[in-house]
Amino acid sequence: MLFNSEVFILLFLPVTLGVYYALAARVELRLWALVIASLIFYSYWDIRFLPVLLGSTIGNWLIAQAFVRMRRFDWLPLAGVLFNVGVIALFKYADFITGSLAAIGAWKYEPLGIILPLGISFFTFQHISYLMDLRRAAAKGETVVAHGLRDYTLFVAFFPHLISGPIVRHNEIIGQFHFDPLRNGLAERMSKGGVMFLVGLSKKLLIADAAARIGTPLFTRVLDGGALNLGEAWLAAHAYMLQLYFDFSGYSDMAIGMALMFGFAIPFNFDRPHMATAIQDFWRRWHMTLSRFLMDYVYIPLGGNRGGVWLQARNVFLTMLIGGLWHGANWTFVVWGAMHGAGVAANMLWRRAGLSMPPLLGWVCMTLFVGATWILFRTESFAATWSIYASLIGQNGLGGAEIGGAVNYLVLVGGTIAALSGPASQTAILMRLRPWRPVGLFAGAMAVFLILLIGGGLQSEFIYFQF
Amino acid sequence: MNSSISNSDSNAAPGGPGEWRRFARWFFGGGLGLGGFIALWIIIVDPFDTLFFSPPLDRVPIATNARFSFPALARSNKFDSAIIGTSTGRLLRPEMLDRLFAARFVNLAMNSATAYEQYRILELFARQHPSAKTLVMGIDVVWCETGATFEKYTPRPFPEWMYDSNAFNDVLHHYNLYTIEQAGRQFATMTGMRRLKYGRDGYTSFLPDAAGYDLAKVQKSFVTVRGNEAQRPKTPPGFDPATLNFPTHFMLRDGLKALPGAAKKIIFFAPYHVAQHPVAGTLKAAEWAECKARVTAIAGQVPNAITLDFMINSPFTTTDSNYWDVLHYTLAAADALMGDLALGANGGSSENFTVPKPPPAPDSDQQ
Repeated sequence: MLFNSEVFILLFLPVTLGVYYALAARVELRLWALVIASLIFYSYWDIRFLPVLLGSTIGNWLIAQAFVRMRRFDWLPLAGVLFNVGVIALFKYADFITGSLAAIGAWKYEPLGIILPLGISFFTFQHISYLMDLRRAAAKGETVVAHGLRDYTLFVAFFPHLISGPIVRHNEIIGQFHFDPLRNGLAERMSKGGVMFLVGLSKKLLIADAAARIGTPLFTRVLDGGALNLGEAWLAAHAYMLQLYFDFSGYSDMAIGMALMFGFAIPFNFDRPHMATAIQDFWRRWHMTLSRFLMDYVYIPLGGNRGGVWLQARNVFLTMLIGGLWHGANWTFVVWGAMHGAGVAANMLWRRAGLSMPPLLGWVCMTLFVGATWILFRTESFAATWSIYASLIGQNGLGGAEIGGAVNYLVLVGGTIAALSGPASQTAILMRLRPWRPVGLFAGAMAVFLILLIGGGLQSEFIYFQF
Repeated sequence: MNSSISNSDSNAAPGGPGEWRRFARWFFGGGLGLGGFIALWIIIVDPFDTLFFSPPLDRVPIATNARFSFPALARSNKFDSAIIGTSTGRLLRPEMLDRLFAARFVNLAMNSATAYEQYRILELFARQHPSAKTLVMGIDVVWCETGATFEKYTPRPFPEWMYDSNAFNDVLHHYNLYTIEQAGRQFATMTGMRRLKYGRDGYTSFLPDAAGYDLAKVQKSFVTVRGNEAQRPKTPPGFDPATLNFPTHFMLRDGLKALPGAAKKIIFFAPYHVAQHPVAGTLKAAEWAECKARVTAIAGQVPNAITLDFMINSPFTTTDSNYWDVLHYTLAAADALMGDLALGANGGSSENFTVPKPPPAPDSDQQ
């Protein structure tokens, strides 16, 4: 069930919150209730996905239990990581791998047609981070305690972050499960969480979906073999940048807001990425929990910055390459990751060489680079991407674009201003929001308006669900 | 900036617990109050007359999209007979058909309706009227398109939930801006602040004011259409019409069979102006001929069904002044058409229609 659906907002979320707080005094019951609600949420998409989630969760939990009991087998967490990589390889990459081998004549290609379980890329990363953290803690001689099955399942499957993150570490959230939900600050947490959810919902409905209605017909035309003129290509690129940013950051805001309504703090995912003045800076602000995961569990194990500048550049490149492949089983994502790997490595080398760039020029370079790579990300087609690149420099004809009605202008201008000058949602709400009652009343009215808007059939899936 | 939300109250923005409680009351209470008021308004007004628990008020068809307005009419026990079709059936007046057929007609023909949409409203009417008396069904181009698949919908929204047999799920679909707008219109109409725009029996003339009718302009458009028809591809050598697939025909058969056997079923091919008729020798002409034969065969499998073909070269279809355009006839022509429908249904004959005979073996609607 989508966060931006009436059944979720009017039924699932209030009922789950109600049951959770009704059982506030009984920690066992309230946490099991949350586990069950999360599994219902997941099953609502497709009951066939549930065994994958439960199987991988129980499998990882057993590995962790075995490791804690038999510390001398320090290969167990690594075996667990391989198990996770195997699961995701089977469900996400099997057809990609066999198809690629077939393309070079090394394999007879028969598509397996395996359905990709929702959220597998996200919950698999959480399993991996847990096992690796256990192994690192053990290696440092720290006390290693494996969590119980209920807490571990809730850590992995907690519905706000289950499908598209933020990617949470076990030590960031499991301890909070045992905090009293009715502790001081309940009204503040509920209010700020609710407003954060609304801000995310507004980003999704009012900007991301509206930008999609502007850009999608243009991308579809190119994917169908047509071409864009200069103005249309820039409009498509701009609309997609807005769509992706407000779609994914909107989802993250909703997840963070809902978690807070249950009394849990989870990590932020975005910090005004379009204000970044360098590509490295961009990745510190965009999908921050993925960047953190890749840094901790890929980049550092590869050697990090140990071994000199060129090895560091190699490690940066390989990390981003893996990050690209994580986004999708397609060579376009590999190339997309390689482009970003090359960009981040070049940025790092530039900085290490002591060179500098005026911030405005840096922002222009970053924006053009990121925007260009998003086109490959969006089309998943080298031919279509190449065609749009040609259009962006006027190779497919000059001319303007038909933007549409006043609402489209408002979305493009308003979205751009918000992306370039607005505060991060977490800053605006968690730090600056004051308990001013008219704001509360406005937020309540806004909630009603957005629900009515959803009821009109405008809801669409979040882009990152496909990963 | 911290990378996550602090759980500590020490980092919270200024404002004591009491202030935040008041804020929460205004936020959640205000939202619930406003949302609840709107829900109550929608339930009481019930603009589409589909909520089984709404108060029994005198509601009228209100939505300009007939797909929302007509399910309530299809369910109404005020009627025992229905007109199904597209805009080529919209101008048939129930009040006149009532007299001709001694029945109580409702016009459920919807502008630009796909075959699927017509099937859904017919099925709904049949389900709600186990003693239905008469069906008048117009067959036009949407029933004669060939290919492997068919389009279920037009760009206009189609509320499937209004057409199913589950009365409980309707409430889930009412909470939106469109329903609020329609509730406003319904309320204004009920209280006399707004003029009734759509007939209580589903009939509404969509034609412009007759004062603006310009025969010369209409005839000019016929020339263009006739030219287009003449340029259609010719039937290829060795073409076998038996290989044509009409993907919507199973719905026509199922829809007709959903009606009681005793109900009179009059299936008529719409009287397009002769300029719109396919030219002999074209593939289109072969497809239409085969479509007519298949539809007639389907009707032959259903008790009390008769097929009347008005899509022929006749005084009706060759009189230019009968039309606003090649598809849509005038109100006077509609009266003549209704007279012919009654005549044909009662075994009479006219130059304006033929009565195709179904094949002896009722097994020919190939899919």
